[in-house]
Amino acid sequence: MASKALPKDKIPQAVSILKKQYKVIGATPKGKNFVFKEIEDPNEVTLDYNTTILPLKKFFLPPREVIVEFNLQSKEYRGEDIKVEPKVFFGIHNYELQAVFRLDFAFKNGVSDETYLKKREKNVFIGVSYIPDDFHFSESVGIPTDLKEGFDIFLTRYDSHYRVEAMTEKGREIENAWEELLVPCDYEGDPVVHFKNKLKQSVAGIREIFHGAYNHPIWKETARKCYSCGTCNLVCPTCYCFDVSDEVILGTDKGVRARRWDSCQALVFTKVAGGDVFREKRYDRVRHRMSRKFAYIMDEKDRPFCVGCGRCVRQCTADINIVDVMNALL
Amino acid sequence: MRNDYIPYPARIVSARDETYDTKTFRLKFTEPSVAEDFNFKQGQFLEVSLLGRGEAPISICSSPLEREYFELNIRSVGSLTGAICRLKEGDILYVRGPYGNSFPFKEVKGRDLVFIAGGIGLAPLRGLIQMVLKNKKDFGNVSILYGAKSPEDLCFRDELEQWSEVEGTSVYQTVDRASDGWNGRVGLVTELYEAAGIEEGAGEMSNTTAFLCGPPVMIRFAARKLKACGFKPGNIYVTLERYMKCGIGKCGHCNIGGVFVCVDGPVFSWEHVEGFTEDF
Amino acid sequence: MSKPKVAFFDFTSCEGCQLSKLNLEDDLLDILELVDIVNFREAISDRGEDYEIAFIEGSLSTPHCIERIHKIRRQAKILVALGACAHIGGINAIRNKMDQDEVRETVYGKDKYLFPSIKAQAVSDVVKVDYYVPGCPMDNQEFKKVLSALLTGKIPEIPEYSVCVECKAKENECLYDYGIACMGPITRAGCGAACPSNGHYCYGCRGLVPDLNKNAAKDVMEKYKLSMSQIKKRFYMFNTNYVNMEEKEYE
Repeated sequence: MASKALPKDKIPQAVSILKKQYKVIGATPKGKNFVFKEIEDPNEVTLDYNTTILPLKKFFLPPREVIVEFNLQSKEYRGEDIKVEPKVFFGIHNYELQAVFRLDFAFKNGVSDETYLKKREKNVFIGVSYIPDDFHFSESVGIPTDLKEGFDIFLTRYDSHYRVEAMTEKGREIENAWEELLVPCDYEGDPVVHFKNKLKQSVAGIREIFHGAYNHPIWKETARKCYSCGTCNLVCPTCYCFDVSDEVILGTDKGVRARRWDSCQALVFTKVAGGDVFREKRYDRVRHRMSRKFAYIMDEKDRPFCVGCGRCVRQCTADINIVDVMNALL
Repeated sequence: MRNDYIPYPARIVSARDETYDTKTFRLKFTEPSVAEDFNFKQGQFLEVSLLGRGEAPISICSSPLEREYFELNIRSVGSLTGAICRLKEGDILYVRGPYGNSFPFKEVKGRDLVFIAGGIGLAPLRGLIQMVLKNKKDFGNVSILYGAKSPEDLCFRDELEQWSEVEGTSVYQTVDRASDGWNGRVGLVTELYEAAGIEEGAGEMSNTTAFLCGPPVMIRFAARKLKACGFKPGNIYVTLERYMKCGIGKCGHCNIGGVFVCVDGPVFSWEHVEGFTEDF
Repeated sequence: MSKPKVAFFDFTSCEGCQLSKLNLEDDLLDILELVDIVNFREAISDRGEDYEIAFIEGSLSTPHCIERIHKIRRQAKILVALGACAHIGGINAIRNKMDQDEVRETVYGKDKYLFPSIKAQAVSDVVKVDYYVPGCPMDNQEFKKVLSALLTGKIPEIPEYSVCVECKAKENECLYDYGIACMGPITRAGCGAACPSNGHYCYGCRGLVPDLNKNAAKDVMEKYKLSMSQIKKRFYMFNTNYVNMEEKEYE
């Protein structure tokens, strides 16, 4: 079958077709930035964006979510019913999906976290190619722009068209549903794109760098500039640490145990009962974050928990660049 | 699929005062099938909840050989543990687990064992001590070195007495601050080493395994001194404290260096700890 | 079990926090089911002296305030500071950086001797405070949470991380993207990033995070071309008692 293309002006129609069967989630503008949200009006979705404020993790691990409910009267704890609706994530960059796979690994590894994994069911991913901005550095962490792993469909932008590559059965179903919107495609191959933000060394072997770097001056230099505000953790697509707390609803017998995105940069993160704090120094916390991204946790294919989306760099008010920090070590 | 964060109710069979702020609770699951399926190993911990108060990780302090019940030693330090310590026989606690790895048991048969504990750090070691003493013929000499802030802070006092009566078992105690009526030692737990035959320059302690639990500072000093006294780091086991919020390696709070205390620990060999890429 | 007796006292403040409680409306009835309010100037006239929980609003800014707060502390089993003035001195403390005599003269003119005043202090500067509900005004939801915790015997906890955490969770655009200097990164969370969510920078009304990095704060404010006097204004609006921008401090 010769390849097909979706003309740019047919995108709203393509989204309308998806909406018949799925909840559609895509990027839409918010002021100068972009956010992923459920698409109501097919015209609001855009395939032309650098990155969103928050990554896709918010759909699977919401900023705050109830993990257990309890009742003081009936004296019982219950799980919350999680309803799963079929969702299409439309126009997703490849590093974004890679990050979801890292999270899947984290929540599946050892004891499964069903509260997370349930929400990963019935998801369809439609990828789109992108032009890296000054902050993306995905190629340096093993995610070149032409990596299409895991997508059901991948859309490659050329001129005013997107080449449609269906890669799974679900993807082919969607391609068929789009049939009347598609035109023959005369574009082959993948565009060559360059990243401005780069690590000095490829990610293979980067873990070993940390062994001799415990007392490297870069930790203190970075800590001097760092607020420990936690933004880098919150906007990171692979940061998944959470805090857990119980709340009783005033005047009722009902309560919830909820988890909330947490930040390892906050002083309180390592506090234990009795008040001891294990990572009291700011530079210890800075080193911890970097180590988690590149050394402490790796997925089943030994890939780091950084996908080079550049969010932590873009959104750091103190201008701390994870690539600069890493390059100081390399 | 079961939500692993849901705890099971367990009834308090008995509550015993250990100190002015510490109690030992004997518990039994209310549902027989849960009790039946509950198997834990020495050194593991549970996530313990009290309705509306929250949840905290607590190590199991009884022996896994005891199938009728399990015990938790709880010190009142915060709002949750404070409320738990006000509970009485018949009240319900909620637990999930067991979590974490365990102390070696079969692997150390035939060896001399040293247990070194500070404060309520005796609790996580207690189950293993009970197992060992129940099977004492399979082990060499057992020394239990126990230190606390004051005589009033010493836990399991009756048992310490009983343990010391088991053949080939010695119990040494010390406190940081003596009070009226204390005729025992005053000083750090490491000052008990000599009495237990652990000395610098006495050669390699190749047939002895040490188990440590207590505050981080104590663990650091005690383990270093053991090394200086001829212990191989691989023969020293420590159990570490962190606020494990999930118990299943997800929440990130107990991550030290490359390890998660809740799944890779809480028991580590000192050799392993020395290899951490971060101070513990 | 009898309902705990609760009293509200106001010191130097706009009384906005007390009014804000009256806006709890439906919840207010629930609260009244759970506690006996024996002293609440904005709502009732009956003033009892028998209470277990004292909620304090306002900063301490006269010798008389000091006397009163000691008296309340002696009676109350639990003392909670409500709102920025009680928590950190608040707006009232702006004058602490000025010449006190000049301040009195500006306000009272030739009658300044009739109104003795001292530097505006947080309640915790004078007596032990058990718990806080920060903010200007205090956040009603947080007040409810703290009250609910107190009534169930739990320790009320307020966040120890920055406003950015809550702001990012709401996926707000960062005000720094628009060149607006915001106190969010160094201010204690708990308000749900109320101001940034409504397009305004954070004023820092909930006090500073426990481990403020002044170097970073200065670097960033300088980067956005705020003059030192503007930076001071941002910091001194609510946090006069806790930062001294005259000093250079490094980690």
